[in-house]
Amino acid sequence: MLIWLADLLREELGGPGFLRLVHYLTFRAVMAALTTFLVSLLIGRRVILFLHRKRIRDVVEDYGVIDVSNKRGTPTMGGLMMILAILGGYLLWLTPDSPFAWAAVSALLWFGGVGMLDDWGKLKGGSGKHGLSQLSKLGLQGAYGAAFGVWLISAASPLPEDLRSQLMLPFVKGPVLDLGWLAVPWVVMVFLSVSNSMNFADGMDGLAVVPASISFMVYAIFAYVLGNEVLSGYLQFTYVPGMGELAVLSGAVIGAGLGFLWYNFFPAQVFMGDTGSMALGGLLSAVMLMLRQEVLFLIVGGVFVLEGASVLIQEKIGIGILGRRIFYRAPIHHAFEHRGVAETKVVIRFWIIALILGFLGLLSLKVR
Amino acid sequence: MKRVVFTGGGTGGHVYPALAVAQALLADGSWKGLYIGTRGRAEERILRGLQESGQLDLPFQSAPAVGFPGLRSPRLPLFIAKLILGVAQASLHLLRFRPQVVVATGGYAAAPTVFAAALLRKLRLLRCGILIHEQNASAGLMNRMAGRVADLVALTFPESAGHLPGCRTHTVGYPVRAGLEQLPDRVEACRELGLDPARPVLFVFGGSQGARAINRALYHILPQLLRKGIQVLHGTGMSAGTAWDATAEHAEQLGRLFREVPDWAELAPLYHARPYFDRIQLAYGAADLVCCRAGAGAIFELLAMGRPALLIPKMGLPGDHQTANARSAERAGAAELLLEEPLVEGHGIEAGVRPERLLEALLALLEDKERREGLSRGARSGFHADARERLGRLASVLAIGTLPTLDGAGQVPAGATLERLGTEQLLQRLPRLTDPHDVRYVEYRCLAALCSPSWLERNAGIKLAGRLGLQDALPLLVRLAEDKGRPGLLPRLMGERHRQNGFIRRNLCTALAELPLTADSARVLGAALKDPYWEARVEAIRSLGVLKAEATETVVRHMARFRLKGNFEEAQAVAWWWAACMPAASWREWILPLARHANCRVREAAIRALDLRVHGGELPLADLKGELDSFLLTSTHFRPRFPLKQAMRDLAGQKAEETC
Repeated sequence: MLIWLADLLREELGGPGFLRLVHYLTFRAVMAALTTFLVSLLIGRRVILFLHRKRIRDVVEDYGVIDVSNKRGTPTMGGLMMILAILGGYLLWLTPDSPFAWAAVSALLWFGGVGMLDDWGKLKGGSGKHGLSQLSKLGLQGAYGAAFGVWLISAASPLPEDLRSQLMLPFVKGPVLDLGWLAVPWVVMVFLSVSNSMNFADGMDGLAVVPASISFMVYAIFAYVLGNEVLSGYLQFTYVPGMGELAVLSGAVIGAGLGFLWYNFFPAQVFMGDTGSMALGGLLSAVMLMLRQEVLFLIVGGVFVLEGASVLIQEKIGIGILGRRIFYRAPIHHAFEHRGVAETKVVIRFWIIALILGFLGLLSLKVR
Repeated sequence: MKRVVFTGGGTGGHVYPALAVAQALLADGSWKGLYIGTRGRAEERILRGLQESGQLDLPFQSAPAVGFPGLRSPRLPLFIAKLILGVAQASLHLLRFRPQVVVATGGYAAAPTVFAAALLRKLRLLRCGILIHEQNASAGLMNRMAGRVADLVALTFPESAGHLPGCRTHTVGYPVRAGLEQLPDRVEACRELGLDPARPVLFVFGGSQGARAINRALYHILPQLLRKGIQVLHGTGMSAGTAWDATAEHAEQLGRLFREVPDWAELAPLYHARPYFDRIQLAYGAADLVCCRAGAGAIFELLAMGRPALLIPKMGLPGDHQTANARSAERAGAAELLLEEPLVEGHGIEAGVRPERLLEALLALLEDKERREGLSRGARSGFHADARERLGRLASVLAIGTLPTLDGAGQVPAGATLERLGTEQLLQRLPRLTDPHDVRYVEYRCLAALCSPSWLERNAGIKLAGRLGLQDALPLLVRLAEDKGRPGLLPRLMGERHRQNGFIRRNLCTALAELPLTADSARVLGAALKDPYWEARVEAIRSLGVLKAEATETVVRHMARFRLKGNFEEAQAVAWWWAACMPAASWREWILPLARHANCRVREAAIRALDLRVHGGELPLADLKGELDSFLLTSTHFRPRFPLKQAMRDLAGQKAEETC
């Protein structure tokens, strides 16, 4: 919105020339990050107290058996904080007529909503494990994915026609395959797998939010390159006007993520809950699908792939078919914990891995 | 003229109680009745028969219905379609007949009519009362659903109230057909059946079809019973299906007895077997003790007449309702209960009664007159034969549009709803069970679960066996462990070799540690050390330690391999096993190499193992002193401690003490 305000001031009322800065992507991206970070810090404590007051806590505490060595009873659904901060910060800095911006915001809201339903169900069920049933969760996520896929390949898509249903691989120049209408199930699958593996990764303090921020950082750079005529020409990407908007969005997410991490790293004062993990997952899927760089997630989001795959193998193949465990525990971070690696150590090792994988992902900008 | 609709069926057991009430209501001509059931099922056959013979003027109408196939069944759409169709058709019948009251006796055939009545009532198209009768102590699915829309659910056993949350319930008993409640004189009855009234009479039967398990056990113990001078009256049953031919087996067993029992010629006159009794009251009247299955109708007739009985409920029925009935009778002090158990027969396992246990239970009762009289008294005071009239009165009251005022449902005993629980739920309930009868029931369910075709059930059964420390389960556990069958195709493709899956093998090893050590369990645990699944190996190592099983050469060889080459769980378990089973002096060989193990939890286990030996006085600390230095004490593992939570715990802990 500020972009309108600045233009209005400058052009109609003869405001100072530095207001033109808002047209610079880097400026807006950094400012969005700073804004969301500050908003997170400002609302953080209030949100935590609000969640606690509403008894939105990890497990309803039974005062007979307080465990002094774990974090049970910590307020959850802290993803609310991130969603509010992203909305607050990003709405200030977006270009209001960009379809990319609103598509991303819709993904954030939809997946945040699904996560909230799930969290709420878990709370209402008391100590029960189930929020939404697996089927209804997948159904809600898939419905959005299908709509998004149709939008992406339809005439209304903001993408140039030679990109819409193409499958791009990292380290390969140009599209490898035209998926045609199969792009829709492909998009659904991307949404389902990314948002759910993000959900599995959210099992330790800071384990989901930092690797997610790193992924957003990589995609922010991609968005910047794709949306810049000179750079995309130099690196031989198809130039997509307006794509830079996603760099601003990614900046906002990184700021909000760091703001959330402020409260969430070990020992956590608040958990993001499904609200946060699904919102991040949905948003990330939307961003990388618009960038047509979803396969790159296998590298950039390697941590999430590992988490999701370990659960899938353990639950479906191990318990479902063989009737035995395949890993010590799943998701994979619990396997490390089971082997006697403390939570903090697992988390920071995962951050390191995510960072290294992020660098590898960036390599695919040039090495093609 | 008042009008009543009866419904219920699918099987005969749901039809007879409705007919009994119909007899009572229609007798004086002030009521007009209609029966709505399913075409082609028991109810149509029975009613047509009655109408043709002119015994009862109750016209039959049909509304389609099928049993509930389960939520995941592919036949679910068909069920829903049939239910809608059935409700529509039943609505037409109801609107045409305009009854003041609907009496339903359960079974899926009752569903359309009850739901149609509830619907029409809601739409204000019909004013009628809905009365449901539940025959079994463990309520059926149909009645649990329909009970919520009914005005009243009349119960046979007070325990059912526990299965019917949210329903108005009232215990009335089982409506016995008119003319059955009169018990003939014993001497008369004996004379008619050709028995000697001076000698004790035992009446054994398993319903009109017969019960294979009861018959088999009885053939085994016949000579012993007869030698004691007991006359045995045996209803063998008329089953002639492909699964089991009662008559053929009877002939075969008689031949065997004739060949194998030398004094059979003297004993035979005391044994009176018939496939079926036309007038079963005669047999009841003659018997000093009745031994039978525990279907609600049969035992209620029996108990209302004050006959002492030994009940053998059939295993594995829905809701375990026969056992629920029998346990209710036992709780009222009206009957004794003998539970079936899985018996190994050739290659298969079948539910049955061990002959020696049957003999023991029968003799204990036959030789103890006072105990039998106690049972009779309990039966007469707890079970009334006037359920028919009571139900009739309730129907009359409902027909004039009022709800009868009834004493509230009595206290339901804590163990009354156990039958409804799955094995996994029993496992959770177990710590809260105190009544030995309930614990015995859980043991029975544990044995049943061990033979279940579902692996989840078997798995829960294994855990239950361990938790109960149930020694009777040991043969079945060993059987499971040594099951050489092939796994399903998909697991086989993925490299699984055992039919029992990994979780079952692991939990078996855990459960064996809770049972006393036998040669069998030592063999099973030893074999489990070679299991392809690591968790099963780990539990085997641990159980060998817990049981302090002898460390044979093979076991030691395996353990040495695990210590060096196994995963961290195995190395950890070996340290514990060493502390329990190996001489303390071998610590240099077994524990010291673990001092720099890559995994800190293994190092911890090694130190704990040494600690056990040192504090057990087996190993002087001075010996260790020099080597303790070689333990790598850097740890990646720690537990945080939150002083704030500690403070709250201290506070809450004090509070708890004050209230005590």
